[in-house]
Amino acid sequence: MSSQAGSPLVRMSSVSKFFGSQRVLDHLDWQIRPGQVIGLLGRNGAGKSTLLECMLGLREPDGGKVTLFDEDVRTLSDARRGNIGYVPQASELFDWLTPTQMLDYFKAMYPRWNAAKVDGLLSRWGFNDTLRNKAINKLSGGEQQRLSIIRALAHDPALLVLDEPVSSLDPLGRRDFLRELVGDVIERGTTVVFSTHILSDLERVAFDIAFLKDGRIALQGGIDALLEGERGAGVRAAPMSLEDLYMDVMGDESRDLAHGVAP
Amino acid sequence: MIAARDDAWGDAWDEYGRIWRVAMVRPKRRREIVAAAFIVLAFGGGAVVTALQHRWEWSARLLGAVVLFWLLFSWVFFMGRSLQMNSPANARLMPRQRRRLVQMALGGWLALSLGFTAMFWTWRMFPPVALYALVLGTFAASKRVADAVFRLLVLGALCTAAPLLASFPLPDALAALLASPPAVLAAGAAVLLLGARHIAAIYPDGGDRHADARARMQALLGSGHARHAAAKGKGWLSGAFYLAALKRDCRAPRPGTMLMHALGPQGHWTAWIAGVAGLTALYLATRLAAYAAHRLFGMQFGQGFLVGASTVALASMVLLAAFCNVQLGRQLRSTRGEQALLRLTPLAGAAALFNRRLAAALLKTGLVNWMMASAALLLLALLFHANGKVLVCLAALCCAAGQVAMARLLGDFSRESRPGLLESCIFLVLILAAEVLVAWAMARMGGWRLFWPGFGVLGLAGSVALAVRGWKTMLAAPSSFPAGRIG
Amino acid sequence: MTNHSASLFSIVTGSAEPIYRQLVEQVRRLVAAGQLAPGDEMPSVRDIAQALALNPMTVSKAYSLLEMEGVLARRRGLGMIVAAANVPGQPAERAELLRPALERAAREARQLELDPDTVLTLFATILKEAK
Repeated sequence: MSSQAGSPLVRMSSVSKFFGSQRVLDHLDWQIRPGQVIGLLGRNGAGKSTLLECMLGLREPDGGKVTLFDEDVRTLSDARRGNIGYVPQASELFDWLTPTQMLDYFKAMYPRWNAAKVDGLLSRWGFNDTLRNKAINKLSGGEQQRLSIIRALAHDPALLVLDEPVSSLDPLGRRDFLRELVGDVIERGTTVVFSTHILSDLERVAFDIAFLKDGRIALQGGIDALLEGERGAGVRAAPMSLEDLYMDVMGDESRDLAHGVAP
Repeated sequence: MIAARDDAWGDAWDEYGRIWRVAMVRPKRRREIVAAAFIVLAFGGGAVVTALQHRWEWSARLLGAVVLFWLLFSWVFFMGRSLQMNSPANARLMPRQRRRLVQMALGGWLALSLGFTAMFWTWRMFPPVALYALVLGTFAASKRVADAVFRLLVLGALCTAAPLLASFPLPDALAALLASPPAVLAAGAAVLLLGARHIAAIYPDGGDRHADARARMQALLGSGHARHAAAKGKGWLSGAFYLAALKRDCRAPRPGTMLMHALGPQGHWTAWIAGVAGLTALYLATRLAAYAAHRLFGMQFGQGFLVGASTVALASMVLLAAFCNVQLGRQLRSTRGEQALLRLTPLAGAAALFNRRLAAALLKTGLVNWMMASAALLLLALLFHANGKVLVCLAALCCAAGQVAMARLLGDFSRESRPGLLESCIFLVLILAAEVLVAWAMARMGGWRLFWPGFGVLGLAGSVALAVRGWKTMLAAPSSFPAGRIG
Repeated sequence: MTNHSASLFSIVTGSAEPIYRQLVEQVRRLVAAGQLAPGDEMPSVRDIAQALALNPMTVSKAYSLLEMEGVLARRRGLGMIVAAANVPGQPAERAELLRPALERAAREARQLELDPDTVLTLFATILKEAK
């Protein structure tokens, strides 16, 4: 089944980013097609957050180019900006405001805002009146993360970028989030990029995955094909679970050789 | 291997040494080394000089001062660390450590108090010195110990310091009574007892209360995140104004004003309502207290005192006008997450437009801050002095302060390291000196009445020039949000 | 003509078998066992995706595969139904469904270096026990 056709929504060409002498991104090439639901995997500190920030133009790369919606991300038009939803890793932002105040504030910043959806999500995800009027810095980590997700979904974005969006949620919270993602976001053909360590979530919801290793996208493809052993360039490996695949890709080179995978 | 009983002392010193070494681990910082070198050179040099002059007493005192300062800094640092080491779990699982920590804290406090008393060479100084040392140590350690005894101690410290602060002379009889040996003995005993109890109290030994207090203390001692949270808190007075402004802005959103909300309530212009109100209240309260003391107790304050105190108060308000925009810079550095979100909103606009909008909003906030501080200052001066000359002088000082306020308000915020603080200070000092010279020259030629107005006008011109320079830099720079991401 | 709900299916994450394959296998087994009779309506892609929190494209892929095999048929505008050509119960076909499990057992037997007779005797014993 062919993935969505069309010119890439996100195109990163030869993007490099240095922090001091450390090379976090090293001539990275990555393309995401419209409607793709892609999971980004990588070790802690490998630069997933940096990659997503460079993708959105929040950081200037030291080399290379990033285009979103066929526009250079540095000169993104206002209309395109209104089409992006971002859930950063830090969920305690604007924490001196209450959820209601924070959402009102963002509503004023976006031309298109789905108030009904926001209200529905708040109710379904446990935000009763008391919670809606409690300062965000007094909410628990899970509540803050859920609020962060609601804020990103509120303006019906065409591109949704999530950086470890469910790290503080319990299994029920994660299942609710996944259902929302499936039922609303993916149904509408939104492009979703999310980085997470929770592999079971990725297996359910992502159709493609990409592995970030040594500053590059080491492996990318349909999750089903990769699980069944495809490694691209005609290389095949034994079928394995996603966890084993992760170990395989992220592990050291001697392990790669033992499994018959080109390092 | 159980050590022999008679080696208990040796064990104790071993344990003290171990705990000390663990507590004092910290990275070498240049500032610390420089300060230490400065103290050693200053006091040590003084000791050498006085020794050469055969003034052995002074020499000994100065050398003693070097040792005492080292002891003071170490003990204060130790207090902070030791409180952290005494976590609820450690207190229950390692009761020996807690005992040693209390002993070391007490020992250090006594050594310091006795040492400084020896410096003054009079027993009368023991109670206040011990008190100040204890208060200093506790503040450095935890910044807010909700202990009744501690509050008493702080009150005591303030009372003893009040005569110095307010510089009004106590009635002679009272002063003699306070300095007599029985009184000193009683005060010393009281301080020792209360201090010992206080030190034992700030090292709790586990349990629910300890755990709760620990959570509160962690928030204050501050992991970076907690410090961030504190920096973004709403002021007690201006919080309501901030929320009202937020509501109004949400109804009629303008890009610049909406962007400023990312900096939190303390970076908003409403923050100054609380600041100015508080300071005005304090100023009025001191004047009221002086008036009441005069009327009720017949205390005489020389006219000189009143004028002096008021001048000091007003001068500090001029400093407030000068540094009114410092918080803006701090907020910019600590709200990077919020800034990232805003950079992605359509209302914020494209990169080129973004900086212009932000610069306009920052300028507006900065000007409001400065104007409010200056207005409050002039209003108070008007109410209490009504002297035209003083008013002109103060107005000129405010204009000069405006330059400090505008100096680092605008600029390239996208870079991590902004142009050096030291360089800015030197630059400002030079500018101010130059303006003083020019105004003086003008006054010499045209009459002394021209000095302050001239200085004021030059200050205004300088403020405008600095603002324009900052504006140009900012507009030519990459997008300011998120701040500090480059370099 | 029963309507089946999405609760018919379950998937397991963390296995070496991709989710679409798990769905395909489940449908095959249910059809072979007769629980899904020809003409029964299958739950829509959307329903399954919502119930199991899966990407609709995965479910779609499974359905398309089953349609190609002839297990399911697409009715215009009305979703998927179980194809008429499926007759439950051909032992040979049902036996084919057991192949993956047997292949796994065979792999393990080879690793343990057991000969086929021992393995077959063991299997016969187990089958008798299972009754």
